[in-house]
Amino acid sequence: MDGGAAVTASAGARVMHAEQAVFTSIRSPMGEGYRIVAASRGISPDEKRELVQSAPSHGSLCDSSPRATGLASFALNSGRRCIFLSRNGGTEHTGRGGCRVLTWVLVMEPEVFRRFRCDPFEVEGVVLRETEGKLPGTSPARMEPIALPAENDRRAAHADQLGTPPKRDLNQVTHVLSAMLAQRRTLVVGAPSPRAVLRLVLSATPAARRQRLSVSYGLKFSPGRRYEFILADASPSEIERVVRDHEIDVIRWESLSTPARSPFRTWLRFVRQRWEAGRIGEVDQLSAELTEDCSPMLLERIANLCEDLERVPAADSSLLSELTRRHLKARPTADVQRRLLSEFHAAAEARRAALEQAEEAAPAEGEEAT
Amino acid sequence: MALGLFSRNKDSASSQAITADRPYIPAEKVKLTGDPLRQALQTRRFGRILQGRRQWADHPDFKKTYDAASQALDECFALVPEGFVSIAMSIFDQPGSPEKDSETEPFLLARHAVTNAEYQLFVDAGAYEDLELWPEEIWPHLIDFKDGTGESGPRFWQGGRHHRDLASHPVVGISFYEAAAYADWAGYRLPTEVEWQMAAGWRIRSSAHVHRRYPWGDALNLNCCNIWASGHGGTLPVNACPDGAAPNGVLQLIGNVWEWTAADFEAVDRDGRQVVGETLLKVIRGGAYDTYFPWQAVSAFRSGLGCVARAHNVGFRCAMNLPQD
Amino acid sequence: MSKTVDASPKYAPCLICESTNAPDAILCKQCSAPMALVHEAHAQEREPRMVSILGDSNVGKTVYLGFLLDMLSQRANDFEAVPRGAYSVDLQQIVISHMAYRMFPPKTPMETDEWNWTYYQVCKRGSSPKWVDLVMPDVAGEAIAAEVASPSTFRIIQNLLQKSSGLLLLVDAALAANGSAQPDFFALKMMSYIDTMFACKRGKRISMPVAIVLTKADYCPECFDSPRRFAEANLNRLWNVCESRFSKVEFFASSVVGSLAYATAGDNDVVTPVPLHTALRGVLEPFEWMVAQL
Repeated sequence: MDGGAAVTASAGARVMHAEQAVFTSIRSPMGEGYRIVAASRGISPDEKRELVQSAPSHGSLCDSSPRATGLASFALNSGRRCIFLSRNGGTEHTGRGGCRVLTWVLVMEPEVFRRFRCDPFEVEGVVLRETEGKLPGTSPARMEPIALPAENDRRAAHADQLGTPPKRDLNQVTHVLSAMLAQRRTLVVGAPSPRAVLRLVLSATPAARRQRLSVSYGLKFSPGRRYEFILADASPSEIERVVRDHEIDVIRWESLSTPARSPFRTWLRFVRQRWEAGRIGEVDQLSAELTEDCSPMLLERIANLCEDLERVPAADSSLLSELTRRHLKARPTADVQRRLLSEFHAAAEARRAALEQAEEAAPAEGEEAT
Repeated sequence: MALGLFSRNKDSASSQAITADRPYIPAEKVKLTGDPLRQALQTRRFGRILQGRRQWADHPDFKKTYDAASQALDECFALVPEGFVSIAMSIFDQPGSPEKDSETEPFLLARHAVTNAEYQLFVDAGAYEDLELWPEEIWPHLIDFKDGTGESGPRFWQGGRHHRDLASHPVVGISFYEAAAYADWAGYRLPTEVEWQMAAGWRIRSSAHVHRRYPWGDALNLNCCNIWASGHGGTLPVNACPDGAAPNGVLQLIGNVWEWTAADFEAVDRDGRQVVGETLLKVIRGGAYDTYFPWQAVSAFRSGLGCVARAHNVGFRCAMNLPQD
Repeated sequence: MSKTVDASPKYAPCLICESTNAPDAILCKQCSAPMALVHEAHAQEREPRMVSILGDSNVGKTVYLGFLLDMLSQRANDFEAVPRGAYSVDLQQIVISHMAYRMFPPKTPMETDEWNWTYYQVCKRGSSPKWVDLVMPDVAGEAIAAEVASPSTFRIIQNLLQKSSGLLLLVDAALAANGSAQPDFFALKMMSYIDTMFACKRGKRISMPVAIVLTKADYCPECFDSPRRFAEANLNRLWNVCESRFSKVEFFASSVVGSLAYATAGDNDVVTPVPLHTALRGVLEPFEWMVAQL
């Protein structure tokens, strides 16, 4: 697999920009409490209003520990992509209980988001690298749009950070992936490491789905944050309310077993096998290339192609013929499918040649033996 | 109709709330005699008289005056026996919280809080102008110790006079320093915190180590005190709620008004952090007529107030050491 | 005036925003107001009055409302108050349980589903006692500020005000006494927002009763002597707009804390305010006045 392929959007500029803002609670001469305390000029008033409506306020992190974090990624009404990077901001200036939440807000054009393969974790990784890990404080004096270079090597670094899930969790993670692909509003409750689960599941979700998807982890469920896919903690009464009032499917991590029959079962099987083998980056790369379509049929074909491509080097003539016949009349509908088919045919051709060579060599050896 | 029994009505007749429809009626001025010793008796400075043997030994009326003062002292003060006190040093008084244990010696405690009428005598004697009564660091603040019309006196007075109808109510609107100055002027002092708690909790030194939640016992009885739940809405005369007396007859240690003590308020929170005020906090005890939580009006509960605060619900009572005869 | 409510709805319109919800919904999916309000209103067969309690962040809305309801529950000042639904008791329980342990309750988040709503039936007993159903939500100050700054950010605030029979506007007297203009500006914006909402012609004043409650007045006791004089001196912008545009306004001073201290470690640690003891003053009076106006 070519791990160095750039983002599927046009190469374009080497530096991209995102608007930024900080939403938190401070006391200042202009007022106190949660609000946008600083913002770069490019965020419109309507966008600011949307941010205020949905940004996490006091005690909104599921975890109240000092190192708690949360993330949300969603499309604003303006069409731009917004990412919340939230963390525990310590005690509020009023000294009252509960944890103050400090949210770094990034707003970017859809094409910029696509250059990061529609992966908010990739955006997060890049902004933290560009700022050398220095997150904005509670009251930055002035904010300018943040520059985000689009290097090719960051993807490999990003994929390397995705750890292999423990075997015992693979069922659950696969189930969660199935829910994400099904395009139904879902709340996942009780995941042991919500951030890791979301990163992994996103890495196996086609970019075509990711670019429209709104997700969050680490933030308490709230009707004001109408995200499609949420990983959060919730009490039984909250779960009941969510189910009753908001038509959301609730997945309880502890009670997950084998995923229900899904139209994406082939893709899910393929992904699970790759994860079990530690080949996270491969799945990540494939997903990133699926920028136009994420239908069950295409994903099934991609999965089959990848698996068959792997079988070619060791295939005998009969298997090789079968594999070749399977993909002979394929009409690719996506670039990645075209690429894989091309690789398949090249590999099959090479294998055929190798087999023929071996066949020719075998009778000569037999004659020598006799 | 039966519901009417449970309503909490304000007893406006006993309230300190002087509203526009209740004109301020100043108390009449008491003519003070010119003779210092007789004036001391007239102004109820019994402690001063007892302490002033040498000063007034040559006065022709000294023995008569001294005997009168002694008798008045017996009527106004009660003996609090030796005891044992545990002071909670955390603001969250729960089992296991830090405490400071102290033993108390016997002392005399006033049977009731200082009234407006008694305090009037202090004001009329010109005590606010007598710098000897005030610590030097407070001298610049004396200009703030004014009443509603700018005269020297408690905050809620007018024209240097208390309201005639509140003569027997505890004086309020006075800072810690004003309370201490009165006590000194009268020949007494403020009780220490441990003394106050001993008087209210009555924890006599014995193997039993039993202390009372209230001066009258362990059960809350709204007839024995004046707190918010009692429904009076204001202060009562200092001799009200006689059923709430401590075993030695001291009245209203719980409720009516908080009482200044001589102690600095020192405490820590649950995380061990010091609890401090914008100014020095002095300990106040006992709760008041507007104390909403009954558990903040018990013998062991302690609070603090800024030393120069002149609150509507804080008064004081005096203490003195046992006379050395 | 109470409106009669359809006793048996096939659907359930929210009491606040009137959006349609499933009959068994717990919270309105649009504004997150509890649907229990609707069910209670149906059970009473009359629509309740709403009294909005608004104010800037950290002004003391939660503490004020919590104590008010607790006092009413204990029949203070000849009031009788009955909570409708267990949810109505949540707020006062939170406030009382915190203040009893010398802690202020946690900050009210901006998320509307986290707000506490109360539905009480209240009666002031006298010669002709009259029961009034009151809905009084505890809303986040930042949501109010955001709505005032940019209308329709939190439409629920707008809906609440439009349906309110009265308003208690809480203003931080301690901040004002300290010389900050923030309370005055916030209150001015709030009153201007209401003025715009009611869109009265010039010359005609808004008749919705407004009680301006000066909170934390223990810090500035002169506030109790004359709340009006205090407001005129320290909140002059608010004073002027009230005089010009509102026909039923009264000023009150209020405090719940008898003595305020601070827990500090002495370094850069944030200081935590500690209410050493409670001393309720002026909590019932604004409400009493409001009920008399309804």
